[in-house]
Amino acid sequence: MELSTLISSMLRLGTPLLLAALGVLVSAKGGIVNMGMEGNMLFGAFMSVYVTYLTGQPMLGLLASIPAGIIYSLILGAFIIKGRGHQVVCGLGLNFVVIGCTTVLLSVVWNSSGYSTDVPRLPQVKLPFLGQQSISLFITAVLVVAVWFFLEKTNTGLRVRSVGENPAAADSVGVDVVKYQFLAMVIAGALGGLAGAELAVGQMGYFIKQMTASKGFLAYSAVIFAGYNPYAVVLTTMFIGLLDAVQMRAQTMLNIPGQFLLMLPYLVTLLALIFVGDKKKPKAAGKTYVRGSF
Amino acid sequence: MKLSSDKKARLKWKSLDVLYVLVSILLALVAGGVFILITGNNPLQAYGIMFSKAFSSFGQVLRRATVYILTGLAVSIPIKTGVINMGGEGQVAAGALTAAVLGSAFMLPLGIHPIACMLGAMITGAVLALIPAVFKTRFGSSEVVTGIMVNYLVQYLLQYLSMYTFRGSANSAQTAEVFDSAKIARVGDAQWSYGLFIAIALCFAMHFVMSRTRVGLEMQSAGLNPLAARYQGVNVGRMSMLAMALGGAMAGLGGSLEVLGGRYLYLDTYFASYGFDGIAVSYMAKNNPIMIIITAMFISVLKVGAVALDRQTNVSVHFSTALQGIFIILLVSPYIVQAIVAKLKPKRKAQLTAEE
Amino acid sequence: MAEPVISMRDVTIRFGSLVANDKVSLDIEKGEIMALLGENGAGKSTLMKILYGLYMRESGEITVDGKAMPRKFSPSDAIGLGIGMVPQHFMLVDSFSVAENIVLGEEQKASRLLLNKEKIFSMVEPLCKEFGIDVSPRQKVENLPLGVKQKIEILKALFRQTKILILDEPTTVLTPQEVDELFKMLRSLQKKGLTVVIITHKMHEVLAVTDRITVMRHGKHIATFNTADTNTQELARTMVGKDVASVHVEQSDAPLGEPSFVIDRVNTPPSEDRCNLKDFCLKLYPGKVVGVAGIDGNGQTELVEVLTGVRRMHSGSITAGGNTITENTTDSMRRLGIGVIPEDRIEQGLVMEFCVRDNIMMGYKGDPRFERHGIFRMKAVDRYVDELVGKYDVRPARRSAVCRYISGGNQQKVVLARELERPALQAVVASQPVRGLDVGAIQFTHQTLLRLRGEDKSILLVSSDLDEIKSLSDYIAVIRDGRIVAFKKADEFSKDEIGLYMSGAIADEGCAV
Repeated sequence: MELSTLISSMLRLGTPLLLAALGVLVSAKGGIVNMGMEGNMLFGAFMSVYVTYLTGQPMLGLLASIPAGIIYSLILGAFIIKGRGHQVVCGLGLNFVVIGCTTVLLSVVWNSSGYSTDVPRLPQVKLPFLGQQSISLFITAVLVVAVWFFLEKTNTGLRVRSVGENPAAADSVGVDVVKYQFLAMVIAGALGGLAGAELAVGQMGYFIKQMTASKGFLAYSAVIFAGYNPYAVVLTTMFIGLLDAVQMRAQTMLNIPGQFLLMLPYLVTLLALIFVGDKKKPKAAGKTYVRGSF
Repeated sequence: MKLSSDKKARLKWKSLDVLYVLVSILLALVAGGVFILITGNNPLQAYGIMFSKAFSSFGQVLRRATVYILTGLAVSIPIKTGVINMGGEGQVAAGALTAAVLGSAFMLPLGIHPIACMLGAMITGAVLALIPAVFKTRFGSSEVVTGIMVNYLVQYLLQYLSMYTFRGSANSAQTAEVFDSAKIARVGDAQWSYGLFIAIALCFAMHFVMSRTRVGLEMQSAGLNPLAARYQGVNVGRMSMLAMALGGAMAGLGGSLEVLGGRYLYLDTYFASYGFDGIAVSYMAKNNPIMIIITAMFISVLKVGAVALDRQTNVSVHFSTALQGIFIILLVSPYIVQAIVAKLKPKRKAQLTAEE
Repeated sequence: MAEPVISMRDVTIRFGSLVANDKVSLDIEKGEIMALLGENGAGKSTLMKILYGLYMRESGEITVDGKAMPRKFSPSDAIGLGIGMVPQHFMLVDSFSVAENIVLGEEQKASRLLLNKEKIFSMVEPLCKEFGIDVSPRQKVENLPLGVKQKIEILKALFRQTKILILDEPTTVLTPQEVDELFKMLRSLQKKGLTVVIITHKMHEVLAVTDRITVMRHGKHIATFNTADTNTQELARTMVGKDVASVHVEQSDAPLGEPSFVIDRVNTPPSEDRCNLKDFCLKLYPGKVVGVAGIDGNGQTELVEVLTGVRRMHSGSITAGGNTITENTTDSMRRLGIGVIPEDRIEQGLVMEFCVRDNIMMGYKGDPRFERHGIFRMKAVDRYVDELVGKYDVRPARRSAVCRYISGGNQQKVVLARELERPALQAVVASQPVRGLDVGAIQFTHQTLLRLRGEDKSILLVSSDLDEIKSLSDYIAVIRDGRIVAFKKADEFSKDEIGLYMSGAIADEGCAV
């Protein structure tokens, strides 16, 4: 029984991370280091709660997070791909924009500096052994396979990967680098938006300022640990989810100050970075491609 | 005075740089205005509130700017070596706590006490900054990710320390007030202390280090072309660690100056966002230590103004965070701003000729 | 005369203030092999990159098969018209298989949406067989030799039904024997109806294979010759614009004295993607130039890195001037008195954003003339840098010029000034010292090296250009797979023989020195 509640909360805590990590993965395969995933999730979370608040339909909220995430990601893409901006710093900057804007809008819409009002959550399903889960768990499972299939088994996936490995080579055989990078960003944006929605209307049922709490960066680390493999990403994100679940259980059971338990996922991520170098990173990820500069 | 063509060219480049920064700021303010419009407020009125408040309480601006100058340096020194210091957030707060604890735990002679507090804060900041630096040079992990992880660890640790170990107040998570011997004097009756001069002096010191010393040359070469630097015998890893440690020390010092010359104690979460604001300060100054003095003032004006805006309207103080984010992305994507400037230019020329 | 398949009229392109192509007109006839000849920076590659859609021309017309091309078009448009290009630096995705690389961009030929690996393999296999590439199409291209990578690039073009094949400096990475093989392949392609354009600066080679030769200089079209009616003298004069006396070494028969610089059984740790040094031995002699020939990627880079001190050797020793070291750091190598001209001045030689002064000062760490307690003595620094700028004729003659904005030749002069003016200079390691330079800068660099030879310094010249090695060296060493496999007096070592050693056709002679 104890194990099943632990697994149940691991799945709940790991799912948003997994979605975000898939987004980071796809953009990395297309050659973009997506440090903006944090803001991507946060914006998706905000829009899903807002639309749910307006319509009373959490499914609409979930759907709304997709275009929201895509718009965010396209803006980031425009600065990085078209504006040739520094990928990491652009991502960080756009995170700030979203953190600032959502907090301002929070007080405008709900007249509160911290929390939104409660909104209905996504339909929850009671599963044997796995406990109560939101239906987005199933959506996520499908998306993992879909992302793998897209990257490894389709022509478009091959092109996206070629752009991330060697954009000059791709360009020289007529693969439109800009187009496929934007495509990767669109997919990443949709996944990141869903990740935020899963967090907000899938589980919490409200919006809190900065509610993503660096989950975007944890997702980024999870992708590194997984060696940029979509199936391994499932394991690494669920592991971080498990740590979070253990931490929450321990809060109620053990006599350890809460602060130290809260550190757990961040501490383990930090330590894991010692053992896993970023070796599998697509070769051109993080670099700006300018045609003709070879 | 006659300028050589070389100096003229450089002057032109520099003024172009300034132009881009100004255009970026303008664009960001316009975007921010549109956002304010969305929230149902009048953008002109809002900016009016912000800037008038900032100038009516300029002491407040200078007090904040003291910290911003140092968190700006905390970003700009590592950037010159090719490392991004994302841990400023934790370094400021940890430095502040260190200073508060050292300042309230024991008495020291008047001149020595603040120096001891500041040194302690600098060491704390440097040690924290070294964690991502070591991870980067030894294991190749992204210093951005590790920096953020360290921030969270520090945040929880400080929360614990201020709630239990060093708690100095029954009501909230804060330390005791520092002794008078540890305080840095304020300038007259104003809100700001002589700490501002320490911060400004450090900007000039950094400028000297970067332009006139071997270590400055080596740090910059490591950032601009690590491979060529290695060929000339520069230990790139050691340079990035040194730069991060220096940056961390600056951030820690920033926290301590606010404790010793402003708040006089450490209060949990009081130091949030100072570190992140440093990123905008540094990027707006194009990482130039002297320019940081000006941009720190500017960010400080925004922040003080945003607090006023928060009180008078429903636009929260976080509006300034969003604005800073826009500054940052505009400033690191040169092609966007260049394209806009280029579009404006021919029009102006056409107008001029039409007027003739 | 045959109908021109490509006709370019008054094509102009500018990069900043540099006019890279100045009203260039060129006709390429169907089924011919034409060479675009010119020294570095003459604008040959630029012209072809415009044709391939990588650069956008400023003005001028281009017609392909009688169809006018718009000003802006992309490589995929060019590919669609049957134009294929084999770039100088190969454009392959290392982590993809041979077949995936060949098919990339055309996968829909195998299946419309889904990636059909088996079908791709079966499509590529016959092509590989036909052109004698004995690697499996399933293999990753990562560790394949350069000669094979070049063939893959050609297959990439052929797979796209290329009718006009452009090769950019195709022979630089090949041994003389591989060059013959390549030319044979081009001849057979010509018979099948292909038109071939070879971009090169080596006129000996183009005389062997081409039908016509077009010479470019300073971005302008100078002349087009029928290969049968011209000779090297005429080509050389047209290429450079004046008669150029090439720099070469006067061989002497005096016996070798004591070596001044000994590299003894140096090993570097093996690495996945690069060739390591294996029991590497080589001796340098005062006043002699030792040329190291070899196919790129056989340990030349590692050798230079070891001698610079940026790559640690894990066994072996280096001796110079009575000092022996077994741990090589940049500082210890500098104390031995080595000046290094690295192969890539942009990546390894200079910090491009630094000014001339800062770049030169990088090489004088701890020199008490220029710094005290780590603080520069600006007056002494400025005086010294001005002196070097004058001596090496760096233009513009300003110490504050930013290196990114000066020409390649002047950048190289900055490197030379820094490396060769060290106090107690014993030996010079010059790796590809003239790559990408124009004739004037090449002459200056070679003369500088020979001046140092005259001052009894030991000189190690690493180059992939056999002509350069032949004309400058007293002795030639051939490097293959991380060791020296032959060491002979330059005038007793024929190019063909060198080529055979380079490719491994003549067996290893072990530590030949």
